Amino acid sequence: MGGPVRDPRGAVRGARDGSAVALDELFKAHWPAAHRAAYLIVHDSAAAEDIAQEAFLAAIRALDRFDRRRPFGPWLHRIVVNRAIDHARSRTIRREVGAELVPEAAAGPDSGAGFSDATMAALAALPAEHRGVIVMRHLLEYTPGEIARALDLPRGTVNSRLRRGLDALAQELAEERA
Amino acid sequence: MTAGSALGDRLRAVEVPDEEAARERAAAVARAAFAGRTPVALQYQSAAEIAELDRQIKARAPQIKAELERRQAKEAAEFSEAHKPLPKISVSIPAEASGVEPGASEIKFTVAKGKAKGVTQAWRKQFHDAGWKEDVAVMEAMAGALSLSKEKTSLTIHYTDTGFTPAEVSISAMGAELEPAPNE
Repeated sequence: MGGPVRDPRGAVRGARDGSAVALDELFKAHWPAAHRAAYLIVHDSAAAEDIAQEAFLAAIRALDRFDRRRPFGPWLHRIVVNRAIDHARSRTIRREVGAELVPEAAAGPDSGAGFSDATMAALAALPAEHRGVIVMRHLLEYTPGEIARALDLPRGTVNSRLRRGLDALAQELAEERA
Repeated sequence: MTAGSALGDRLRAVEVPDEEAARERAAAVARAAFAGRTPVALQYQSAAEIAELDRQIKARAPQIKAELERRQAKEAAEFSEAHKPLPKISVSIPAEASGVEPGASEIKFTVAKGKAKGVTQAWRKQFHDAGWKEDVAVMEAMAGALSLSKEKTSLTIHYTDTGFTPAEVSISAMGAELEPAPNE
């Protein structure tokens, strides 16, 4: 996902120092995957945009404060996925606590063309935590160990969420086809 | 759903609404957030650390000053060497030469067909008699090259003489300036 950046460290440094060119370079390379990951987890395009946007700013600032040698992509993905899971969880809780106060449209995924896709429908049936690990594994292509570190989870938990998530997805997609 | 790559393809195929516009909006927000920032670095040092640095600088001052003076003298000598006038080399231009393009580093002209090799041989003798060393000499009827050197200067002579059109001759110098001499 996303094209290669000529000099990723230079782009982050330039972006932090206010270079519009460097920022555009980072956005071109990393936005598509970050935005897609957020959307696949929260199923809400406006929320996905906010999450990805805030994650970008946070990742650029985080690299400034912490370890500049770390690559930008994993930092960004870690922030995006964690925030997306938090967002989806809090939305679920709001829905459970006050279903009558939360309009269905706001609680559910977009009603646009994306949701009509069987994959999105199947993903929507999973808990946010399962969507997070599946997106990290199969969209962003991290290993279970890397996912465990990024989400601060035991590796066994990541593996079990992946297994259960994939089983549930297979079942949802089979029912969709039936 | 068992194949991971197949699921990855499905996830990548999902249509994300408004993706391009969302990227533009997010990039604009980021540009505004980071615009006009001037990077600075702050470093804390205790009074004792500063005093120690000050002591080290003062202790090394004579050495630094001497090094600076040595470097300045070396640069001045190099500058002087680079800008001193180049020696002049007198080059005899044949009387029958035409289209002479005289230059300090290169002189070009043409002579009647069949005459270029003779011009070059005349120069070869002239420079040999003046103490120049011959580095390369290839002189055929239709083309030739002669390279000569003396101390820090060098000369290169080229000619082409097809026998159909006027022959072209050039002489160029490095580390010296050419000076066309009166016609022979």
